Amino acid sequence: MENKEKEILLKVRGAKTYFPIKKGLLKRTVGYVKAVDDISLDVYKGETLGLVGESGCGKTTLGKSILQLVPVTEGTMEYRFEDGFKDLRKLPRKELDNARQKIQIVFQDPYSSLNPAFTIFGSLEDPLIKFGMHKKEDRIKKIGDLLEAVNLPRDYMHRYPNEFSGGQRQRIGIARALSVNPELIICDEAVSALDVSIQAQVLKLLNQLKESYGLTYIFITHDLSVVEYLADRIAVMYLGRVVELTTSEELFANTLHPYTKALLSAIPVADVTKKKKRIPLQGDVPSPSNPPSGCTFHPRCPECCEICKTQRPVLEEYQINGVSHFVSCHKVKQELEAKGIQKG
Amino acid sequence: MTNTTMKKTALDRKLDKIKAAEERGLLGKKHTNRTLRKLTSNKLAVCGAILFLVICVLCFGAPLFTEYSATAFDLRAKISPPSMEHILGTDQMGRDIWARILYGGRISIIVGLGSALGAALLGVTLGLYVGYKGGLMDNVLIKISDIFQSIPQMVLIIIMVALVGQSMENLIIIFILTGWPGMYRMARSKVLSLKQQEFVQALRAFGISDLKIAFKHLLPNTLGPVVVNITLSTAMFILQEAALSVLGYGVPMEIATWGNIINVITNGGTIRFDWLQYWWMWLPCSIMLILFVLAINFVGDGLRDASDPTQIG
Repeated sequence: MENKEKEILLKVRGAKTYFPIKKGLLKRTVGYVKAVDDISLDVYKGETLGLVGESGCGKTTLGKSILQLVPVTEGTMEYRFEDGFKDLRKLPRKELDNARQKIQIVFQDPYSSLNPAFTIFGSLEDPLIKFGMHKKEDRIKKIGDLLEAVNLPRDYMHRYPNEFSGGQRQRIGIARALSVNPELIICDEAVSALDVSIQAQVLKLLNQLKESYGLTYIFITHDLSVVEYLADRIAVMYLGRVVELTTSEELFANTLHPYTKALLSAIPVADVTKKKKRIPLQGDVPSPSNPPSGCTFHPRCPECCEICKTQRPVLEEYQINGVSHFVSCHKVKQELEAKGIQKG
Repeated sequence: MTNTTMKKTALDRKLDKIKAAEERGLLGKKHTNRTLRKLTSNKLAVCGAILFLVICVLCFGAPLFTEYSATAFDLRAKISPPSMEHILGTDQMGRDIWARILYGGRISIIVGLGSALGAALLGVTLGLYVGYKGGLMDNVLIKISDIFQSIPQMVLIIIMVALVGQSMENLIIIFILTGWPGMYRMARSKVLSLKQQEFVQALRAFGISDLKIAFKHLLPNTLGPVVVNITLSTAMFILQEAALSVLGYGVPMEIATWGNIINVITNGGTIRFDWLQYWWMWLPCSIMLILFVLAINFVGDGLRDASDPTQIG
């Protein structure tokens, strides 16, 4: 309910990103890997939206689709510019280039995210030139400021990436994303390559930066404890679809979807006396090129019933405990309707 | 008490010295290029560069170092061993070997280095841009380079010489045409792995143009293997030019080149050539060729190491 009052920054509707599978001499398309399969969600200004799911469920592809780094097959991605919403997919090349200033990305692997042949200054300079900073002194000052913003000494800009540790590189990656004053930053597994103590540092830094720069984050991760710390809302993805989407507190307090329950039960608790009931999932994530019929989760779902095998559930919004809670599951729908909670 | 302060000051002095040196070093760092500094501190590379320069000056300033002509016969003085008159002796036609080495070096250096640089320029340019863009163009080019590489190089060269004629310029063009596929493949394979890296994705996320990504951000990362390949193919082209000359397809035999000079061993003419007895005809020139190739290799290695920031120098 409180989300409704906030401004929407990005509206994703029916986004599909399919990668063609090509075979044979003539490279005929024999099928598609449905990495992102019909996703609709809103990102509100100033929030942190956590995007969680297993490996291969399309989290990263969704991030790259929003940035138009991979060709999107279908759907709209409307971003709020000064003069209203515009579909990023339909922007002409020049306008899209300028839109790139608004949306930036922090990558997963700190070791490949910086060009080994350039100093930090050399790596960070080009985006600044592109967005109109033509004087070298200005760029030196700006990059120095950025490094200070991520708690690194100014003169590190003359060093090469191989002189830095993983955590430092990740912070430089964050500084690079900040360099063009974006509104939305997509953090693609930004801390999963770091060890836990450094993770905490970087997460803290991200939170600080969010406040001082007024940023919005889409935080892609497979680590639920990270999103619990950071995210305002969490979207759980399974095989290219969102299965549950609600605020962070609501998701942890009132888990609805069986997949989310299984995920949450896998979080280790630092308490030996506490016995947690694990909900083990059978098998692997099915291939996104040949997803199961009906609900894509049904072969692994502990609560699977007949309807799940044939009919695909839709992501529907419910108002539970005063917050909106999106979930896509036949079983949950029946239970909620039995309790008298209506769609809203 | 006094003792400790004494010690401290001694240590302090030492530290001050280090600090001062560091500050000087830092000040210097701002003014001199790091790559250049690494190159000049590499003794082998500096030796190579000096050797290269000396050979070039000797060859291109040949009239300053010899009064003989590379082509004039002097049948009265044929096959004479090194003497005061002819410091490296003469060949079967009485031509001065020292003069031939110097004048021949001009052509050998131009053909070898020119072809290698030309092939690198063409191959790397195509490899970087087309490899980065991918798609149909890349598919077509890789097939074309396959075709070039599947025909034996010597046969290809012979056919081309037959088509366009025999001259130094044609030879360079032919070497470039046969040499680019190797460079192209090397640059392309490097770019294919680089373009998946996240720093390239980040540049794309900023909307940096493809040209700039390929030639500014990817080129320095491919330079190491390219430089090594240039040094190796320079030597190869010089020797290939010699081999073609034997077959009568290279630079005409009467014009001196290093290859032509060394060929006296295999091309003894009517006399049975005793190459151990007539060592001065081929040995000095071979040494010159080896020195030149070594010099280029040293400079190339130095350049590669200097351009690689992960190596501390």
